[in-house]
Amino acid sequence: MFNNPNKVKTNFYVMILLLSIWIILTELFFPGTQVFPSPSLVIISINDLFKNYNFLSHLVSTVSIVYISMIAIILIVKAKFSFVDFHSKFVKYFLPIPNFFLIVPEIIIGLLLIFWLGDSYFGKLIYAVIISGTLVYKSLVKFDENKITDHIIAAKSVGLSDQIINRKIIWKFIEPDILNDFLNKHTFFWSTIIAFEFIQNYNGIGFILRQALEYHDISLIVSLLLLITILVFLGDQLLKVVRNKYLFWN
Amino acid sequence: MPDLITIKNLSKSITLESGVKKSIIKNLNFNILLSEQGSVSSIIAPFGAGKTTLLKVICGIEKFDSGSLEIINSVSKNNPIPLITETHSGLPWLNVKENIILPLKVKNKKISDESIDQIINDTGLANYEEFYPQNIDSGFQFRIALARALVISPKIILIDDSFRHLDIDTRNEIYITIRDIIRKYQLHIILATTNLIEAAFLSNHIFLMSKSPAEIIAELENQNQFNDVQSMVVSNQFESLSKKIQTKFQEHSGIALIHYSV
Repeated sequence: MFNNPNKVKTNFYVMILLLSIWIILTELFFPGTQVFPSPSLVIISINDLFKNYNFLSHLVSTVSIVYISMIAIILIVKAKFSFVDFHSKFVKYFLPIPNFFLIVPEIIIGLLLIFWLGDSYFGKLIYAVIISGTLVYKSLVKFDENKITDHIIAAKSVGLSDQIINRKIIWKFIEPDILNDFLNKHTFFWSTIIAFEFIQNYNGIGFILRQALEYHDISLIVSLLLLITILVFLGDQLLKVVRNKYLFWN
Repeated sequence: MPDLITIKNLSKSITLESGVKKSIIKNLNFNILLSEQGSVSSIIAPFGAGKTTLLKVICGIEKFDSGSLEIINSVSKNNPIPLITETHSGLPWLNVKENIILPLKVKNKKISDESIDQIINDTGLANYEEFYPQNIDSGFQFRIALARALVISPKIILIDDSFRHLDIDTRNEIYITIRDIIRKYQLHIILATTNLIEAAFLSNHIFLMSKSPAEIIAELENQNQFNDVQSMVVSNQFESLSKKIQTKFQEHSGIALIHYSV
């Protein structure tokens, strides 16, 4: 919605150009290449994905984990946690700990967790909640509390309780930052979930990817990557719509 | 006439990050009388003197270390003293009207729509109810803060140097609005400021406060009432008042305070 129309146009033309090159090279000049499958093979593989690999159920498993974990962590933190206490007590007195989490990439924490958690939906959910929790944590540490100091003072002076101020004012300022950080890490988040499924050989898109690699089915891998790209793009657009509609003041 | 606020030997210190205790207010004494028509009492002090801390103590957000503070119908959750801060912006996800009624809404309190409309009119926000704070200028932001304070029907409103960032024309318009509102709602305003002109134009009483640790160095009565700021600043009364204030500050701490801007 906020994208520069010229940039969108340019991206669209680049996509069309790459697609044309792909079609011309693989369909006309190198139809049987093992390096990169032709569009017709990819279409057959997409059909195969739905027919033989139960793609829809794996897709639901991955998508639900990505978004449920994010919503869950926001709801948990929002209900159980006071931002003022977090900053005044935790960040102020245990400064090295937040710094540690800011420096260590989520993927390291994620990779360690993969081996500790079992190959179950619950294990995958815990893993995703911890990764998204790290993202939310980073947003909270980065949040500039000076932005809200005067609002808190004004609200306290008209008699609003700390709980109401936390829920109705402070969180409203933090939510757009969390969503923006999540948007920036959206592709990464998908990748970590797929990596978990791939490594644990557990239900989800990562599981199909592993099967395709085991059978050296390049066209299936390409079709899978194509579908993942489209899904992440659609997820991105959906999150932007949510941001622009419900968090419009940011 | 009873006292509206009585402060006796009030002291307040804060602990710096280095662990050192810094005294912000030391043995502060003053009292403000209740007036039937409402009043404005200004506290003039240099930057960093502890004005904001004092206002926070008065409205109960911060505790004081020693001394006493008595307020008529003492402050409680049901009877708060609103503080309009220096950067008094409304909440950006609520429109003007929603911002104004927020304190009532979250406490499930109700006042009539007519009363809310009256407050909106009196604060100069009529026709701006549906606007969002980020889409209107900072003068209107102050008006929102003022209206939000008025809906809880307070006896006292604290204003913390809130006009500093406004342009002169907007500031002068707001001074007039404040005067009208004081008369209409029999309000008492305590205004912390560094600006002699606004203190002289709006106030009935002026307290001069020293640099931190803050103490009251003089108390002045101001009987002069002018219709507009321009005519006040060229008057002899203003010249005499400003000289008196400057002299008091010079005598006490050797500082020439106050910025003049008309």
